[in-house]
Amino acid sequence: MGCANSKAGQARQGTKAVKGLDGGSSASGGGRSAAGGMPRIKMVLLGDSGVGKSCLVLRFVRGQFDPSSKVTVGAAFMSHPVALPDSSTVKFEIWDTAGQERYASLAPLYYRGASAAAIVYDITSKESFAKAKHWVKELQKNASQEIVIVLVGNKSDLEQDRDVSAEEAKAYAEENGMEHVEASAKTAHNVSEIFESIAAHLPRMLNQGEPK
Amino acid sequence: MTVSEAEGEGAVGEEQKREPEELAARVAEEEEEDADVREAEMADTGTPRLTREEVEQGIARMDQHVDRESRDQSAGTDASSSSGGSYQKQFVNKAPNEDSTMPSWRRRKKHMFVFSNAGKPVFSRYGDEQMMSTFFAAAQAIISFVGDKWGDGLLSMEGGLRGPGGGSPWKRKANRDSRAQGPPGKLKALFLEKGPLTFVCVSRTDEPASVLRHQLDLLHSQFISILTLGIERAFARSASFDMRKLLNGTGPLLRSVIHSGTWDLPVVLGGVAPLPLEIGLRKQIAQSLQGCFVPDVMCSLLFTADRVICISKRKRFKLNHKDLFLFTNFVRLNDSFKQSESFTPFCFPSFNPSAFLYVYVSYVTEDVCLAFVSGRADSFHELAEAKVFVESFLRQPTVRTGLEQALREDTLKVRELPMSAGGGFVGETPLWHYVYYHKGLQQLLSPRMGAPPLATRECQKRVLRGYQEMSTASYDGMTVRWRRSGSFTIIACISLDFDLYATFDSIVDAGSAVRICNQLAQYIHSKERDLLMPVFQLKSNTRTTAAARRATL
Repeated sequence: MGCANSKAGQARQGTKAVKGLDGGSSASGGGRSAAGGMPRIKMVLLGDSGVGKSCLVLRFVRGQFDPSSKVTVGAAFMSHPVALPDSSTVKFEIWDTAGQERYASLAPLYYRGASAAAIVYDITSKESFAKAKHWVKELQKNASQEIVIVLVGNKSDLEQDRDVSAEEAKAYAEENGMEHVEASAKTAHNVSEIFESIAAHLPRMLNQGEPK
Repeated sequence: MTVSEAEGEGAVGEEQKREPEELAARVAEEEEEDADVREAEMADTGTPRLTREEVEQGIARMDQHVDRESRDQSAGTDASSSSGGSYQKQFVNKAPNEDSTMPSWRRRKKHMFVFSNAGKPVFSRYGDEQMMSTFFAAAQAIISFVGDKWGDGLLSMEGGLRGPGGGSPWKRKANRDSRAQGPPGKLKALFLEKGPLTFVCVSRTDEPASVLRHQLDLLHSQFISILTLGIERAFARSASFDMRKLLNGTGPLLRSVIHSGTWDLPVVLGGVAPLPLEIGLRKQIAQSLQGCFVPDVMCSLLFTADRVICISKRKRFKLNHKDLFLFTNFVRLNDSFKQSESFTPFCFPSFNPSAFLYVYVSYVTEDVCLAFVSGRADSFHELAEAKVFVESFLRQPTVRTGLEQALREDTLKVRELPMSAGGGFVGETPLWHYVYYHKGLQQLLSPRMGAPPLATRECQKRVLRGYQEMSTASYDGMTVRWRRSGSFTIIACISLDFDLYATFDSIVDAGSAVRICNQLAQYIHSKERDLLMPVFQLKSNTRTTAAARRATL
């Protein structure tokens, strides 16, 4: 990933950037906001450009689907409270990153300190699946050990154009200890399941994250 | 107008094979080009001023245009990554399947392309740059040849277009169709070598070379703004580095910048267009921007799609009009900013071409956008809090109504001016349009174009080019410049503090035009306080910074 140029800007404040966007204040894992008391879950979406990261977030947060795709610039931030099965509520703070190559070197800013990551690929594109594998490796190497990763195959409504088999993706996910979900932002199929599957790991994670 | 009319004979076959949507885009493009042809014809024959019918036709055409656009939008279910909302949609590649061998490509009025020193394609305004490798290699060969032989960079070439035997490599093929003979402009080619990249403009628009060079410079600045000078290191490592991968998705942005070189007054004249606003309210807004001090914030901006409401910045942060244009254009073009709060790296090339700053962007109302420029990559949450503060301030009833009114009403409209300063309805006054350019602040005040009598695009373009020519050409230090062309007259009054450019109808006599200009200048000068935008300083609040310092320790 030859994004040397964006590193140029980052080099100066490299050490600061490493802290991630929590400003270094909250530790990895779910942080508890000082004011509201509602636990906050920092989550990041990664994946190749055009796989539908923003569409998934918009479907989840606002229940909308906008077919005219708008290319994300840098990273977009959205938060959304979710009720958990144990009747507590958590607030998802979602960083929806831009998929383009030139933003790749900024990704650490968003995944450092994140307690969950959704790595998204497009089931009709082998290339995007390869890119997803690349993100998995990068997270395993650089992100927090406790980070919960979900592998998401988006555009499951385009079954006729499928290029990545569900079995292959599932096997890869199991190998790497991740959940695997195939979803469609367009039809809303399985979208909330992505977040539920993250939420399912939450109680354990919150307990671990808190004492810090 | 049908496609076959506008196209040369040879291209009709390929045209029919293409996708209908793309075809629609092509038709629109051809129409624009066709308009250019007519423009040239009008200028040649000295057509008298626009008649009422012409104006009405123009309005009807605009309506059709809007209809077509809305149809395009409703039909636009294509989810390709480069097409988006309405503004962005204007700047997708209009000819993605063309290459340099096609007559339709050669007929385009203004080409801009970029390639690396190794001759690798980087960007082309029209056509698929990947398919034009041989063309770029040839252009690169010419440049190196000239460089070797005379030890000097190739700056510009001019080719005679009218003569059948012109020597330019971009000369159009002789075509039997007389309509396709093209506009009478001479073909100009300009080269701008910047580090590992060469920027080329091939144009037959009759704009002077200095103007085209200015446009190439702006395109170069846009490249820097996307990738910083760091790109040079990547080329130093490997000369055959493929830069297009890093530019993925920026095509509309680059094309919009080229478009602005002709169409955006702030770019054409080099200034900032402030939103006229009562000074008391502007000061209050500035205070709210200053009030939420976040360490390392260099600048806070509040702006709309075409005008700036307020800027509050640190003294050491130099923000010139070019950087400001690149930034506001970047925000305007990316519809994703409207969906949610965003945080993105952005390089202000005139301030520091080798580093990114981090920009927080969020729309506080449907039209008003708030941005914070920060030097810190981890300042998002602090900036998001600051935004809540500014947002709640702007929601106060007095502020909101004041701002909404300023947004809704264009106080600069010719109709709003006093009678003596050329005010009045269309037909009552000879004054069509004007620009007041304040030299000290580099700000310009001007009514929006688009209303009659400047309703048609070709008419607007001619007026803009007229202003540009007035501002760039040397008139031997003359303080009043006068130019009658076709259906209108342009006057420029140059003074120490400000320039006034005004467009009148073609029958106005010099005496009354100059009288109106004087009155107009006086009127605007007297209202400058509520029209121009002072730049507010962002002072560091020592208490906050101390706290912030403790927090980081």
